[in-house]
Amino acid sequence: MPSFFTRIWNVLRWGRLDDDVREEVETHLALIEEEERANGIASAEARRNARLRFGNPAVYREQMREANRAIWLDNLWQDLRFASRQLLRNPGFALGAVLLLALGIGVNAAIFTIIRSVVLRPLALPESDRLVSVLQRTKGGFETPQSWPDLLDLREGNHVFESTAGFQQDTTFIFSSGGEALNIKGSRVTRDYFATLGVQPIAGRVFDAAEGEGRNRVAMLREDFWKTALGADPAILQKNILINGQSTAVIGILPAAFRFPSTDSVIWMPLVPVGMERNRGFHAFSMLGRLKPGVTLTQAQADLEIIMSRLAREYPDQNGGHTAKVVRLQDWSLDEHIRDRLVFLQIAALALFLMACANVSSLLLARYSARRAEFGVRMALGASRMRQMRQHVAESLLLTGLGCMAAVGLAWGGVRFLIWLYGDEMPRASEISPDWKLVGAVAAVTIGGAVAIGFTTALHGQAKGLGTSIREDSRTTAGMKGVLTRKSLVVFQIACAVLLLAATGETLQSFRALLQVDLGFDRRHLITMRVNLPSAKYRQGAEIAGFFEKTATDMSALPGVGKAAAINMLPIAEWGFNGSVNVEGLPPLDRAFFAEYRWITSDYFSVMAIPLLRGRIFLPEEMSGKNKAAIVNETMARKVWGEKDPLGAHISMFSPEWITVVGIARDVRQTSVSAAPSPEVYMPAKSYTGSFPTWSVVIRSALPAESLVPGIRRAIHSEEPEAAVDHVKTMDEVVADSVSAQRIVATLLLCFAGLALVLAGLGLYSLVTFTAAARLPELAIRGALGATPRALIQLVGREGMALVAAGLITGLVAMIPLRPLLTKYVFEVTPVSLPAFVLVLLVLLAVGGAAVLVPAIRAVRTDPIRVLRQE
Amino acid sequence: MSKPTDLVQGTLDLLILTILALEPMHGWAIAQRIRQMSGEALLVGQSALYPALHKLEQLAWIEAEWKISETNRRAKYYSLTPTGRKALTEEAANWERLSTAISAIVRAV
Repeated sequence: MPSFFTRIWNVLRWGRLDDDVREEVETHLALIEEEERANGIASAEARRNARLRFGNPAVYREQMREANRAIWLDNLWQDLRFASRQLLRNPGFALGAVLLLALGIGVNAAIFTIIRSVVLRPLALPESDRLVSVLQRTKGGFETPQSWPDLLDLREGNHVFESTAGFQQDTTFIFSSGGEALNIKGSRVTRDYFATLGVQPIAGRVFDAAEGEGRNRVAMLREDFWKTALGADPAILQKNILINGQSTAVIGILPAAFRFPSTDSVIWMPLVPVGMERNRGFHAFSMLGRLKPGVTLTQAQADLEIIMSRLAREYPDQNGGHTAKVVRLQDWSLDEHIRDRLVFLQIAALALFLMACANVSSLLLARYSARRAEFGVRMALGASRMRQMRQHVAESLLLTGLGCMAAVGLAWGGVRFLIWLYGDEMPRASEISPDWKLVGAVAAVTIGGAVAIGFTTALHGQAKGLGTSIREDSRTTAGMKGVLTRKSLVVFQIACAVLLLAATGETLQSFRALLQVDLGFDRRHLITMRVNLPSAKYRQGAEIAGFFEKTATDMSALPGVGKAAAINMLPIAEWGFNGSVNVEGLPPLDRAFFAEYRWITSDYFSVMAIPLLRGRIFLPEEMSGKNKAAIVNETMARKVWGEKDPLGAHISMFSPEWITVVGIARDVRQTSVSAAPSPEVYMPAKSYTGSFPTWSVVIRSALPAESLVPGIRRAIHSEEPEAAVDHVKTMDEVVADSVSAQRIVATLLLCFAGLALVLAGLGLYSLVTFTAAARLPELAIRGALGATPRALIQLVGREGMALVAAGLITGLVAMIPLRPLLTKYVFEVTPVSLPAFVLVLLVLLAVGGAAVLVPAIRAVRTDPIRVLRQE
Repeated sequence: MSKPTDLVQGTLDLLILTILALEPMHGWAIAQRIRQMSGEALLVGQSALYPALHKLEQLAWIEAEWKISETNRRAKYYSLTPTGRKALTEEAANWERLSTAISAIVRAV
C-alpha cells in the first residue's frame, strides 16, 4: 500500500515536493552544462545547450505535478463513477442493500439518540454533576422522600453540602382565568431551591425569607407558560393571578428551559408544611443538595448516614432502622425501568443491525461470485490488486454512504415516532434533539465498515489465481469459500432471529401476564377522575374530607350512578403518600413499620369491590371521626402480625393516640400494575389532617362514561365552583395507561422480531437461490437420468434446512446464558412456557421452509434440456 | 519504425531498476549510464526519465535521498529497495520471456 499513502502524503505536502522537483531539475541542468563545458564549449553556449537538451523545466514540473497528484484523485473519481455504474446496472440489489443498511443504522441511531438525550446527557443545570437527591431507605427496603423534621436535621447537620433544598414532587395547582378552573403542574419548593439548582429568574426575583413562609401569596412561573396562558403580559410582575382560589403575586419568571422537578412543571410556590405534614413519620418532601466542590457521593453518603443513625436513636418510633441514600440528581429523575427498557431495545436494535450487515455482506459476496469472471479478465488485462480492491471499497462506500444518508432521515423520523409513542412516559422529552455528533459517529463507523467489507470481499477472490476464476465461471460451481462464508452469515442471522423471537415471545407473554394480574378490585364499569380543591378555601384536612364525603353522597344520588366514593390516592394511578406506623406492644426498635396512607369515604370498599377478608368496614361513628379506627391490607397484616390476629391491635401514625385495627382488606395493586402491593393502612376521610387538596373520585355505573360525566362535573361545581376536574377516565383506561410503557416495548420488540424474521428469511432465500442456480446443470442431469422432482427438491432443500437447524440450535444455545438477563427487562417474570416456545419454533420453521422451498422448487422446475444446451 | 530509439513501453522501468541494482545514482547519471551501456543506441529523454523515476518511487521500488555528488553538487540519489529488487527479478524474467517470444516470431516470419 505504500503508493496509496505516498499519494495522500504528496497531496498534503505539495509545496515541499514542488521544491524537490525544482531542485532536481536545476541539478540536472547544471550537470549537462558541465558536460558541455568539459567538451570545450563556452559557458553561455553550454547553458543554452543544456536548456535545449532538457526542454522547458516549467512544463516538465507541471507534468510531474500531474503524475503525482492527479492519478490518485482521478482514480478515486473513476472508481466512484464505475461503482455507481455497477450499482445502477443492478438497481434491485442497490436499493435492497441501501434499504437494509438504512434500516439497521436508522433504528439504532433513533434509539441511541433517545438514550443519549434522556439517560446520558447531564441535566441542563450548571455543574449538574454536583447535584444529588437524598432519599431515605426504610428497614423494609423502601426508598421514600424525607419527612419535614428529617429534612431540616439533614440540612443543619451535614458537612458535605454547599446548600440544600426541599420540594414536593408533582403538585397540582388550580389556575383560574375566567372560564373553568384548570389544573397546572408545578412544585412547592423551599427558598433555596433555585440557588441550589443554580437557576436564575429571567425577570423578577425568587422568594424572600418572609414569602418563603407563606403558602399562597407568591408564585414563580415558567417563561412559556407566561407567554401562552398570560399572553406574555409585560406588566405581569406587578400583577396578581388566581392560584388555588387565592390572588397570588407573580414575582419571577423562570427560563423556559428550566424543567425541574418534571418536564411539565410551570409554576413554583413556597413550601410550607402544615398539620400532620410536620410530623417526623410523614414522608412527602424530596430533598436535593449541591455538594461542595470535590466531595464525592460516597463521602456524602457516609456523612448523612451518621446523622440518620443519630435520628434513628433519638426517634425510634419514626426513624428506627432508616438510613440515607444519596443518588445523582440525574439518575434520580429517571425511572430506572425506562432506562432498562431503552437499553433492552438498543440491544435488540443492535442485533437487527448485525443481521442487516450480514445480509448486505452476503449480497455483496453473491455479487462478487457472479462477477468473478469479470475480475479475472480485468486482472489478466493488468489491473493491479490494489486497484481492484479500491474498486470494491468504492462500491461498498457508495452503498453505505447512501444507506447512511437514508438512515439519518429514518432515525430522525424514528425519534419523533418514539417520543410520540412514549408520550408522558418519556422524561426530558423536550431535551431530545438531533445529535450531529452522533450522525458523525454513525457515518464514521459506516465508512469504516464499508472499507472492511470492501477489503474482505476483494481478498476473498485473490487467494485463487486469476486463471481459476475465469475457468470456474464457465462451470458455475462458484467459489465454495464464498458460499461457506455466506452460509455462516445465514446461520448467524437465523440465530439472531431466534434470539429476538424468543425474547419477544417472553416479553409478550409477560405483558399478557401483566394484563391478567389480579388488581384486587373490579376494574369494570368504574369511572375515575381527579378533583383538585382551591387550597385557599380548604385549609384543613377536615374541610377537604368534608367536601369529598358530601360530593360522593351527592353523586350517588345522580340517575344511573350506582355508588360513588373518594380516596386521596387512586390505586395504580397515584402513589407516594406514606409514612411510619407504630405497633403497640412491640419493643421500641422493632415497632416502626412503613406503610401507604389512604383516607377513604364511606362506600369506597363497596364501590371498588374490594373484599374484606376479616373484620368489618368503618362504622358511622368512625367515619364521623368520633372513634379512631383503621383497616389494614393483607400484606401489612402478614408483615406486622404474621400468624397473630391483627384485629383489635393498636397502631399509631403521625400522632401519639392509638388507633384500633378493625378489618383486613384484600391487597390491591397500588403504585402500578406490576409492582407488588406494599403495606397499606386505610383510615376514614374525616381523620385526614393534611393539606393536599387533590383527591380522586370513583363511580361505579353500568352507563357509558360520556353520558355521566357532565352530570358529575355539575355536581362537583355546584358544591365548589373553583374545583378543577381532570383525568376523567374509566378504570380500564387507567390500567391501560399504566402499562403503556410496557406496551410500547412489546410492540417495538414485535416489530423488531418481524423484521429479524424477514431479514433471516431473505438471507436464506438468496443463498438457496444462488446455490440452486449453481447446481442447475447437476440437477438437470439427475433429472434426465430419472430422478423425481420430489427427490431433487429434497436434494436442494436438505442443504437449506440444515442451515435453519444450525441457526436454530445456535440461537437456542445462546439463549441459555442470555435468558437470565432478559428477566431483568420483562415485566412479570413467567416461567419458560412450552406453547410459546413451540410457537417460536414453528414460526421459524415455516419462514425457513418457505425461504428454502420456493427457490428449490423453482430450480427443479427449470427445463433440463435448456440448461444442458446452455452448457 | 521512424524512431528506432523509442523504448518499448515498460522497458525503461526495467532499465532503471537494472542500473540502480549496481549502485545508487542520480537522474543525470542514470541517463548517461543507459546511453553508454546501450552503446549510444538508447537515448533517454529527461521528460521520460523523471516521471519514470517518480513512478518507481511511489511504487516503493526505489527510494531517493539528497546527497553530495563527486563533483560536489547536491543531487537526488536513487537506490533500489528490497521490494524493488524482487520486482527487478520478476520484470527481468518477464522481459526474457517476451523478447524470446518476439524474436521467435520475427525470425519465423
